[in-house]
Amino acid sequence: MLMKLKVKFRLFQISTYALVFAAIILMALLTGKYIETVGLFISFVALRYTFSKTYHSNSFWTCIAISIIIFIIAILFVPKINLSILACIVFGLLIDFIAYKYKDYQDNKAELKELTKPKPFSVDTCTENELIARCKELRLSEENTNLAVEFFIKKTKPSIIANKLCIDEKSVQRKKTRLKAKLNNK
Amino acid sequence: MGRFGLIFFSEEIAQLEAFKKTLTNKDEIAEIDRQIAELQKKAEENK
Repeated sequence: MLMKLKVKFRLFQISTYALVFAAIILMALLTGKYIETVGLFISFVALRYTFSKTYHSNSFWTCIAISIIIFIIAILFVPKINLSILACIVFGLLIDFIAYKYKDYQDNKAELKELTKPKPFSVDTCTENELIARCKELRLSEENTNLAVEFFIKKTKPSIIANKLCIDEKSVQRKKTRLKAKLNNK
Repeated sequence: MGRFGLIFFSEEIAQLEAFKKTLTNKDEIAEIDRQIAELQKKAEENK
């Protein structure tokens, strides 16, 4: 990256991190939970890499806002160090775990949507019933429907169909190509 | 690099996308797009 642009980007990064840190420090000052805040932040950063993925909002600024809100809530509710030394570590881990689970849920939802998407009709992959239904939908004649079944389901040789219909093989091939194009057409 | 790399790349990409919106110079925007494409490629290789 160009040096000037790199510097601009790093300043942008620093300013966004500074925003998050400012909110965290303010919360620590208000609650008096300095050690707990440091412990929470370190455990959050260190433990997030134990998970294979983590949640990110599509919008960067939404992500920053969510991060600030989550840290504010976590600092508010984390027990004081005189009650529990490890609580801030558990809280950090909990935030990472929830982010991981939510990302996993989003990925599974996207995968399910892709798998259940209706596939376009294709003579190469349809069943006989699907082919007949498609022929009916396109109002093909009985003769053309039977031909389609011969071509694409039974895979009858063009020479056999040519003999049956008393036409030459080239005409049969042409008929097959035209039928395929018509049936596959959206 | 594994998990560290994957999470690092996705964060860096999100930051670059947000930074791109602050730019007006076409050359700079193109350079950022190039960086994003490079990081996406690295992230795919690390999966």
